Amino acid sequence: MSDISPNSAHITLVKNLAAPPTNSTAAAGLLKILVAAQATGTTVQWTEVDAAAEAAQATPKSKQPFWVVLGDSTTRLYDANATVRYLYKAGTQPLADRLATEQALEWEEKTLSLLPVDKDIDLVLSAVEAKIGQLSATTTTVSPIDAVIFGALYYAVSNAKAAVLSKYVDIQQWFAQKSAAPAVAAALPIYTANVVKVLVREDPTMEN
Amino acid sequence: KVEGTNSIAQLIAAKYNSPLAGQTDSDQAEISQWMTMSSRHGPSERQIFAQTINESLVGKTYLVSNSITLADLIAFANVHAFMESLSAQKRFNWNNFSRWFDLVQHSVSAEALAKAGLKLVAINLNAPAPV
Repeated sequence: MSDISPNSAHITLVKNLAAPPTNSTAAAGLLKILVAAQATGTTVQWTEVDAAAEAAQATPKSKQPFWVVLGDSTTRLYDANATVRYLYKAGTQPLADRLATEQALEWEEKTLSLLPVDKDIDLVLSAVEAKIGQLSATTTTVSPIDAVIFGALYYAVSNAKAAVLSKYVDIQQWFAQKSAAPAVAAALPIYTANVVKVLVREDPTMEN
Repeated sequence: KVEGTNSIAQLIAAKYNSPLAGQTDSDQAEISQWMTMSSRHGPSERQIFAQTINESLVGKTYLVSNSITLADLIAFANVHAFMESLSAQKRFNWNNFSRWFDLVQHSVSAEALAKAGLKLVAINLNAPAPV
């Protein structure tokens, strides 16, 4: 059932499985949600899954590490971008703004999120470098587009070698600006505490 | 210039038929989730998607809220070819999916279906005869 009341100022994040590894889509999704929640002033309540209740539910059995329950409703969202849209009330934006948001998020969903972030960071960064100027302003304001792109890029940028990262000036500037945003600064410690860090496998050399 | 099929659908719904885009914030979020899910399930994953739809429709008429939305239309287009390939027994087993599919296809005009390159699929909602 859907809620008919205005957006409640809280969401519940239900932890279903073990914490996701940092190179996973789920981890990127978690960061998106946390940044968006901070940016919109939404409280995130955390809870563990009720296994018995889940077994009795006539809903799809999720294999996602977590899902979001909206406000005081029973509506569940498994997709982080949908949660970001909800938190920012994307549907109430002026049509032009909403369209810009939708196009950016759709690009991330269909293109960026499918790139092998844990295998070819260079490929990921090159895809974003070509579009970052169109997607987001280099400011400390955090739009829904920012929340999604930052979450999607965080692992790649954080783990890129200096030689690789130096090729992407626009991304570096954008990432530095967004990292300075209060919403991002507040979200990152929570994110770090709820994911499992994955070490980047170095390319084979004589030394290693 | 507008890029992205889901974005275009959202734009058209918002301009001409806003109920399709969802009436509440949570409905809109669920609709976007279904649209994203649809775009992520390619031809090799239609069965998984159909099963998800079937499970989600327990006790529900439509995917989101109590009326047809973009979620139903986009998902319908995604699974149309898959439904055509299903046997009568399979259609019966996935009763929620079949019931919903038949409802959606009859909610859209035959002309609209034809323009979308889709045809009406004959759905027998009765149980198949025992072998």
